[in-house]
Amino acid sequence: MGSLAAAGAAGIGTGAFTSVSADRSLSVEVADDSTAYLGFDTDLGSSPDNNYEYSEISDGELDVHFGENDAGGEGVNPNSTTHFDDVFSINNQGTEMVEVWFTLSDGLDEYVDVYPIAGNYGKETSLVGEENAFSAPWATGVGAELRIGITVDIADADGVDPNDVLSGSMTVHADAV
Amino acid sequence: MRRRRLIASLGSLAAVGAAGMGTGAFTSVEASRDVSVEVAADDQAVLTLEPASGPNGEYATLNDGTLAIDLSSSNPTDAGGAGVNQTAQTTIEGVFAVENKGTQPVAVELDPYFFEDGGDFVYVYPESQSDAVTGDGSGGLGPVTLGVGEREQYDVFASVYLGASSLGGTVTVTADAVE
Repeated sequence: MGSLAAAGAAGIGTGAFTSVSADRSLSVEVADDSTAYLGFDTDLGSSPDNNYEYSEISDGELDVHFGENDAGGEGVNPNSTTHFDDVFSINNQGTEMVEVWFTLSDGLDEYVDVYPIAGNYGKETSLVGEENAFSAPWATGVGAELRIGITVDIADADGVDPNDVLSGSMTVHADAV
Repeated sequence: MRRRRLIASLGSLAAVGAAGMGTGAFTSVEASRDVSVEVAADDQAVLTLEPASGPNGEYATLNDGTLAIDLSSSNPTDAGGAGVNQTAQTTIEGVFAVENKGTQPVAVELDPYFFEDGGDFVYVYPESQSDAVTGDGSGGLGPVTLGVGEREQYDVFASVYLGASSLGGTVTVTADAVE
């Protein structure tokens, strides 16, 4: 029996076939930004300089808003440059190490910069533009977390007055390396 | 004379034989014969379907010998990811592979290779034709010819901007022998 079965299996393995058709399932779930393969976290816990108050996951999407905070501040100062460390983090919940970079919508790119908080890297390092893509196994590897800071620089901006709301969108790129 | 007779009698014998066959009528015959068809798991079959060997093979599963492409919370990644992001485009290269373990070249085709819901969509496509989906190519997707022992990896591209909560369905994988 054993030898018969073996012969049968070999016969199938080498058997010619003219046509094979098989139904298989493809299932793609759209996840919340907190649980998706590219994950975002807005609660950085005990990070030294925690500004997660300025970001939230709303309707499944990360939303960053430098508006009124719990201490009563209502926005950035006119003619100022403000750095916010640890606004949110990017969590690689996929299967490969990635490099991370950002693009900013027109207008936003004139006064906003995005930077990593990782090892020796901080607000002097921009993540905006593909040429500034950042990757490190301990920050962008599988299961790792990259903390993100944001600079708002309106010191040289013309026509920006108190009570203005400056808004736009940022695109996060995470490409496998 | 003798030879002719012999021929004649042979001819008549043959005729009898033929008549005999013609009258062997039957209404029904039942005969059991052994037919053995072994059903192999997808990853061992003549048309092998299996998760790709690279890291993105995590997005494919083999349950009870059947391949599935599963980007969902029922198949979370080791790092805990449970689906694609909304308002995002996701490209996942090398999710599963098709290999021809038969004896002749085949043309492999997926149908459908595209699922759409309210303007959001997902493609599953051969890596060799990725340009048609994620690049500048406009040739569209066609069958992949796999010689004996040849293998093709398949990618998944999802574009979600319009509020779909899930995408997908049943893909029929067909491999037809080619000359």
